[in-house]
Amino acid sequence: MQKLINRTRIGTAMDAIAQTKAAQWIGRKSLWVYTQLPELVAYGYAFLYMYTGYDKLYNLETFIDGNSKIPLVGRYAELIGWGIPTLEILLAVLLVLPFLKLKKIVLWASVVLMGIFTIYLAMMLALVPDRLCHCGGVIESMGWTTHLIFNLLWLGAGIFAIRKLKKLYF
Amino acid sequence: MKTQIKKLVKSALFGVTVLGGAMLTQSFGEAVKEEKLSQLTDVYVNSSSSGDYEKLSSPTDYDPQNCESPSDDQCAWRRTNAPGTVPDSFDASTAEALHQAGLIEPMDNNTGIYDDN
Repeated sequence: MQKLINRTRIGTAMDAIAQTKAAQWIGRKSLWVYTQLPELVAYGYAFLYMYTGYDKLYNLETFIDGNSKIPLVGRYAELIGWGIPTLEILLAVLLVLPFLKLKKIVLWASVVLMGIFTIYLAMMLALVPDRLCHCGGVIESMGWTTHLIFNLLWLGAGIFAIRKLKKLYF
Repeated sequence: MKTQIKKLVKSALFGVTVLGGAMLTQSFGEAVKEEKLSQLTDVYVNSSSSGDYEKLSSPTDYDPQNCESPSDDQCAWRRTNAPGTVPDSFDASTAEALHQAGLIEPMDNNTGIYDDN
């Protein structure tokens, strides 16, 4: 009987906590964050691409030199050296424009590009002993496995955002 | 209409902040990197497949992209501030001992032979 009384007391206390303004505020904000998650992921991609793209352009000579040492793609080092950072910056700018239809298309392109980077990383990790990564900024200092996990998480977040945006706006 | 314009402006402002933030972060990182490079004392790079290390004539010459040929040995070590003597050249086992003694530490995550030609 005493146990039952105690349980009821705990239940009442928890109800009281849940009804407090703070708890309601947290609940509302959590819901808001959840509904805005696709947008946040898009902004996250914009930040990431602007950061890495700008870093690659800033260290362009090193980036082109590094690309020239990669087997198969080495002959296109200059083209890749200019192309990838330009594409990254372009995607970053387009991602923050407040047009939802465009945002969805650009997010698709961003996720595809992230997929290509991830495949490159996975192939390097699995097949190449002499690995090269010119990924830009602090990302370059990550270990290979950490970098792969980081990319996979972004890839997952991007796919989630595309699906959510589709449900919300199309 | 007014609310829509307000929303668009808010969204655009947030976007500009995000992009500006990314550029600022990069600039900050670059400044930190340069500061670190200017504080470098001695750098020892791997010059053979068996892990023989030689001191670079100038530590600022170190370029991680020169860690090319495959090798499991650390590509480069840098001198720490710990008191003691580090020879100008040493082999892999000495490198391990110096590392254990805290006299040198890995320069970065790169393994391989350093080739600056």
